[in-house]
Amino acid sequence: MNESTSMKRASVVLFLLVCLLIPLAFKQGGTGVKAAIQAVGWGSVEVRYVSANTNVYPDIKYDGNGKSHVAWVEYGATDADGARLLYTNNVSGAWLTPYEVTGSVARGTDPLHSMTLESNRVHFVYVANSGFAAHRYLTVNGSDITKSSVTTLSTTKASTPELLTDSSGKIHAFWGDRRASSLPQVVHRIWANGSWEANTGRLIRNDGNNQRYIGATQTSDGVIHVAFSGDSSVRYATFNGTTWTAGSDLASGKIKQVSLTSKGNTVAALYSIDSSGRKMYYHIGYGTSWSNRVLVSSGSSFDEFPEIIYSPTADRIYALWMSGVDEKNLYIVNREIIVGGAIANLQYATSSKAERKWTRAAVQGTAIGVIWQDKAIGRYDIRQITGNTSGVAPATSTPTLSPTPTLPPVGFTVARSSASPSSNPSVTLALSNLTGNPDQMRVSTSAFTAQAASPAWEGLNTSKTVNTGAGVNSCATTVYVQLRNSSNGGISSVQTVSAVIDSSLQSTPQIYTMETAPSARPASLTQVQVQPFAPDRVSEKYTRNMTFAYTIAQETSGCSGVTRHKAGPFVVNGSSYPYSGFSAFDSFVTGNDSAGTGFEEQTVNATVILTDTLGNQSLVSKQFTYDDDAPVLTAGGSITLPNGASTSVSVIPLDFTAVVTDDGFMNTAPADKRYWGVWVVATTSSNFPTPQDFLQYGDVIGLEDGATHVDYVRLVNALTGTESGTRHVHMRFLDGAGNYTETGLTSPAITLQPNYSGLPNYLPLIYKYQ
Amino acid sequence: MRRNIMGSLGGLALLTIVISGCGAVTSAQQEQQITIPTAPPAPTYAPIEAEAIPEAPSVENPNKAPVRYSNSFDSALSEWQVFDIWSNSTELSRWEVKQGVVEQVTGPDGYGSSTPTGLVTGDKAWADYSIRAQAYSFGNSIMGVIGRVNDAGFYAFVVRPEGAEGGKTVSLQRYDAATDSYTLLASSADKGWSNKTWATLELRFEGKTIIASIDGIEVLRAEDESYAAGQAGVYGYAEGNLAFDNLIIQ
Repeated sequence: MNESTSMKRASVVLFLLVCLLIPLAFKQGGTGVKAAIQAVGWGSVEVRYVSANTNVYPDIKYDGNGKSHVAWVEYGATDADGARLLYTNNVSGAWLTPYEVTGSVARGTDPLHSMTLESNRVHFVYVANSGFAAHRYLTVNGSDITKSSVTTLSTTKASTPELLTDSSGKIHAFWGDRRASSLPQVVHRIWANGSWEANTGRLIRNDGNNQRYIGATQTSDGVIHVAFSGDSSVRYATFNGTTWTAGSDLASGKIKQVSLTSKGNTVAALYSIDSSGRKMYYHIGYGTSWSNRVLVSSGSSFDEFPEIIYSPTADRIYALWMSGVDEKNLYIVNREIIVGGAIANLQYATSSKAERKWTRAAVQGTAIGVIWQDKAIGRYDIRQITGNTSGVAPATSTPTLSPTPTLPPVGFTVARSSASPSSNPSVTLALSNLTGNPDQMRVSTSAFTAQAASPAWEGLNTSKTVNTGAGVNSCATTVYVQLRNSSNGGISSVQTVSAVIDSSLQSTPQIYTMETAPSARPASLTQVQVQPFAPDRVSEKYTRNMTFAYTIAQETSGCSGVTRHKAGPFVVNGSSYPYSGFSAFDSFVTGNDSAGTGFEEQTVNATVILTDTLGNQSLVSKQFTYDDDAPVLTAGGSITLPNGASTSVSVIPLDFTAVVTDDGFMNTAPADKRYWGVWVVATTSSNFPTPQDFLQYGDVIGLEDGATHVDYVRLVNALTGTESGTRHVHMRFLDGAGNYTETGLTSPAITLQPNYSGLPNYLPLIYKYQ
Repeated sequence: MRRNIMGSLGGLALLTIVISGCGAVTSAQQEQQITIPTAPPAPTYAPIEAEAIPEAPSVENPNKAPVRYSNSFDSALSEWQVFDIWSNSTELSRWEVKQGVVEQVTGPDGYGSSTPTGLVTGDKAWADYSIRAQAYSFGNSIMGVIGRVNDAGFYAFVVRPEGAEGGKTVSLQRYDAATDSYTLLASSADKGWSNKTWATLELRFEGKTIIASIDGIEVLRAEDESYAAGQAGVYGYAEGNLAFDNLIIQ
């Protein structure tokens, strides 16, 4: 390419650019040539309010002085708690400490309130905790704010309220109302000259249902325009001051949310449609004449929460919404529009990976305030960004609010005037230092938050007695107290008073036979006094001892504590607890046994009575059968080896036949069920071992009634040694008290083979660290 | 020479475009006010990586009780019903089976909402039973299991992580459909769970006694006789970012 060619081409390109720019300049003008599109200068994001709870559905308005007014809903700590509507402004420069408009707001999936300004009044229409639409306004004089009374606007469940102040100062309230349908329809009611119009509001169009997300605006000719989502359409209607006229639907499809604004007599709408993703559309018109809609969002993004506003100062419309992908609201985007003219490219006001929802915006002068709920910290808080339509990014205008929630104006001191510890479950409160003129109180033994819907409020009683019902299962109890000024809604923080209520014993003694007590087997054989060498760990119902064992735990922590006890006939004072010991039965017949040796078999009772510091008592009694007579094995029984006389495993099963009879209570059982179990030991000899060998090296095995089979018998013990060779298993029969037969059975010789195996043993793995 | 011819053809095409562009001036001047030019294309965004939910730990059957119903969420939710609380929408929140878990995806209108939603199954005549499920949150404000779900209401065992509203708490709540409100039956602080950690939640009904456990440890107990029987299911806010697995009803 030579220089001449290059020059020619440059000229052509220049000519091309000129011709392309000329029509664009005319388009921007619409009805004439106007200033070119210029991007809004956006400031930095400010956290408008954050608390320990979830904050949702913000709204923002500017007053004539360019000051911001912001409101939002703060949920209580749990779903059982209520929600409250909070308000702040920066009228005096710094942001006002959030003011509670009402503590009775519902929760829901859609916006619960709308705010508008009327002179120095800030009006709110909100969905109350009752579900009905309600109205209240604040009169703001500097930092002095007073509340109006609440007017209930609906008698059916309400939704998505919207407020509009018109050029004459009238306030138009809209909300979803179910007076004519089971699903919401938009109702309109006017506030003028300080009061609501006499009627209860009018249905805008009684031709459908599930109407919500209301956008409203007023054109220069005074006509009010509304559009809302309903019946898969963007419904539209106009109000001439007297009647509503239904217009053509602005769009159809799976409509989501709608926003309206106007310039002169041109209405502009921005709405979202769910169609292969969530898309944002814009168009303008009036009455029945509307432009084709324009897709203003990108094809693949998720676009929702439209807000469209007209700035007279900039003579621009600003279309704002949340835009993202994968249902994550990442960007707040803006498209600057010349009415009837050019639409600028998307501009990013702010971006975040945090979830963001419910954009609302307002304009005043060159300022655009945008507010939303933001989940950057894991729960929603309220954030705001301010733009400058002249393109210069505004500095952060006022200090960010302190995150501390509003302190309740009502205060008090609470103490307990009743005794503690006490066995009386009633706690008497002593309230003093009352501030903020409280006239109501609520109390509970369960924790509740200051904003909770329950417990119910009652009249103030500074010496109220509360039956806590405590002291049965646990002793430390807390009474929660809150006060309220019912005239202004002011509430105190929730305060507590504690008491130890001990109305019963929280410890239950455990009673055992000596044979089954945790410490039953004596540490030394020389300690055995009765039935020498008899086995323990037998039946829990029988005993061969004249005493019983027991343990006592201390009461639950916080209770008064066990101070003494009585076990059988003996009182024990001055001991510490937990305690363990043994004692005699309540009574015992010591006469000679008429049907055996020793004492009479008999039913015995073991009783333990506990007493705590406050005098509460508990009694536990258990019944056993005393039996000191041994069972008798009739000669002729035998042991057989089901797996044969040779084994390579050190644990084998046995079969046996035996006729065992027992005296006393055991004799009532059938002849084949007169033993509780067997006592077995292996030796290398066929000689029947002494009871001491059984005790030292044998095993007590409980058997089912009538059983003639033992699953596992050990052939290796300290008496036999670990060498292979001949073994004999010896068996005595036991009754439930641990008495054993004098004679027994001996098995045929068993050959334990070399390199035998036994039951698996698992030893800890021990490392030696260098 | 050939190059010159091609250059001339290119110039002719360019001239045509230029003339067309200049002609648009006249056209634009004649447009009505409400005719809006087509918006320039908007940019698209890079996709966000989906949350990688680790596999839930295996579960045993500590109750050793007969199983009325179990689901490890490997197939469609044909036996389940979704419900939403405090919703104005005619749509329902989205719950979907994804990669072997059931996930709370979003709220009733396609975006999240800090309002309760549940996914229930079973028999409304079920009275005394336990429901146990493994739960995993990666951003939902709560997670829970519910039981005795009937037309009049239900019981919910709700746990919140550190950082959620109200702090790290566990609570037993009763929802009453007649008043569209919740009642707190029992609650405790500092026993909630941590985000992005599997936790086993259990709600057990024994007559009027309601017992709630986390990872096998009883954390709450309450008595209430409002509802004697009903279905069972899993529960959270319609905020998405919540998954459940290995549900057992016994």
